[in-house]
Amino acid sequence: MVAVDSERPKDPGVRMFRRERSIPLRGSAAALCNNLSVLQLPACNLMHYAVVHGPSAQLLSAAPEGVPLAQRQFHAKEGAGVSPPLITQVHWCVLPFRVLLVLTSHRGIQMYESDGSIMVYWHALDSGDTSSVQAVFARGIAASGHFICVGTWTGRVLVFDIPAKGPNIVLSEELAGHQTPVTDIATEPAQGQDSVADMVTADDSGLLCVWRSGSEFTLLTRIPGFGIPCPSVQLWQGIIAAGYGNGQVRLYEATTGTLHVQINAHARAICALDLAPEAGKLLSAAEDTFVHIWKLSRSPESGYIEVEHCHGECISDTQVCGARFCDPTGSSFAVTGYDLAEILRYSSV
Amino acid sequence: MSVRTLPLLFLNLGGEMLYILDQRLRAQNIPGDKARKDEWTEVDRKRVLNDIISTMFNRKFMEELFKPQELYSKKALRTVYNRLAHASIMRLNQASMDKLYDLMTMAFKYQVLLCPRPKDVLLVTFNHLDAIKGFIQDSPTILQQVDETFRQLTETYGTLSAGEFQLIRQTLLIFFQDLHIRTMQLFLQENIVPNPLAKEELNFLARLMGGMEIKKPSGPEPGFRLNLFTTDEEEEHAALSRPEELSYEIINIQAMQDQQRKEELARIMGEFEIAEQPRQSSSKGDDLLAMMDEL
Repeated sequence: MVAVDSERPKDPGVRMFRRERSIPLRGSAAALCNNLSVLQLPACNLMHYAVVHGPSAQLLSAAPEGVPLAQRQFHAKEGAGVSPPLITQVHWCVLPFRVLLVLTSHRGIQMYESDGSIMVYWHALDSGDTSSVQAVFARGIAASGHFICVGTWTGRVLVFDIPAKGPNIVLSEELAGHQTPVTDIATEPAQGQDSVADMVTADDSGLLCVWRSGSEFTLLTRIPGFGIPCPSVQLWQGIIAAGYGNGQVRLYEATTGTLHVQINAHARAICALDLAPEAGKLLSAAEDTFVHIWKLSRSPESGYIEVEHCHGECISDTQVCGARFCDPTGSSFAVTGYDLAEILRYSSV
Repeated sequence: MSVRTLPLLFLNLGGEMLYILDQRLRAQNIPGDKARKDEWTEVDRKRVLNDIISTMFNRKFMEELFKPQELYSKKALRTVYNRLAHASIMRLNQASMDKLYDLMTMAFKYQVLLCPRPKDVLLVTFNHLDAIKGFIQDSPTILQQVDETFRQLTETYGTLSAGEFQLIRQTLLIFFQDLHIRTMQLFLQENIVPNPLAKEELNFLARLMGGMEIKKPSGPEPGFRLNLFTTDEEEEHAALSRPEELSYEIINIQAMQDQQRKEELARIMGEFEIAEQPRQSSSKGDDLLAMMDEL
């Protein structure tokens, strides 16, 4: 069982994290998974946040203390169809020479310069032979080297080749590995060796596909699901962390697909996972209102993945829908909730 | 998002509406000059519920409802329930109708939020249908209609995956987003930009109106009014104090005869500038209109 810290801020005693000033949003957060993206550019001391409201998404920047500075709204590009399209996800992709903001919706994929000022690319989804019973959408966004990978409702993952600057973006590959809609994609910088996995894709059936990036992406292994969606996935030093619709978080060895750890700490579906790479900290957020922080490591003798629980935070009366670390050491994190028109922030004391 | 959400939304909201009406009809002190006051009240309550339920579960309407489609706008859906509530001799003032709709939507939103697993939304729907069957135990024909809907629900949703139910739940929550019983900023942001969906919605409404007959009070029998508040004064006060911008803007269509109905619809449709957008299934609107003509 996990001990939950539920003391009020005014109470004395040791608290690992305290609640910081919230950042107001113009529109409430939608009940989607992974509904928060955070960007911190080391050059300027600003935090950037992006949240999906529904048919629009909001991008805002704030000073470290949480004072909001600028905000911008985006709408999904209309395209063919009858009703106003909904956005499924918004995410910053950090590439070697630039940062792009990517929006996925029920119409297609939009890419902007990192501040959202200019749209540099639009890719319309081709519904093709899809029967009218299926919803058409793109979902799951990640940067891998100089590529941006985006998942789709068919299970295909689109790989876009991004130049160092300018709008000359091309769709270079379509990866086939999933049969159900993609939910999330996670990547980590290639470790230098040839056979190391550096991308994981997840879908609605819980299936995980492990890839090696390159001019052509290679499917290394598949980790079967058990019918329960995997809405969120992370990758760190060859460890895959996957959160499932039944509240479980599972840790796998990426190269072999072997299950090492199964964490049963959440009572409802996982909605977001995030990683602080410098500290090996994993954040899990679920619809049970809890956010947990875990420390990942490997046993020096066996090489087996080990987990230690660091902190649990109860976001009262909130159906959490997005959560991210705000710095690479995991000393602060931000949370969004359904119907909540603010970003909640916590930092360690 | 999900194109299979409308039946669940409609049936659950309808179920909530019937719970509330049943309760209020029992509680309402209907002053009357009838000798056997209790019997009159009980008979009329059942009659109102029977009328509404048989309209809700009209076979052709259910067939249309279960076709894969996007959710209709909040305005269109509100108009449907306004219509349903008046499918019998019962009358509701604006304030009471507003309150009824507020309660219905908040109740179902709460139930969706509380579902431990997305698939539980289906169980909630079955619960509502079970309660509806309880209201019409004495009417075998309507009972058959409801059973048929049970069967359709099982057929449509019985085999859906957890991922698909998750999408349905997300679609419902997006529909209910920002809906709070006190702060209804939602209706201020209601987008009234003309769009091709409006045409489809009006077809949908026309179809629904074709399936419904207004039972107008005729002769000496008064169409009795139901009050969702405890006193008439409270209802009046609610109507006066409700800010203008929070009105539901119901589309009022008086359907007297076929000719008038078509003219009215044509006039309303004329008010919407339909942008040139390719329609993927343009035959659907024609099917609905054709069905309307057959009634």
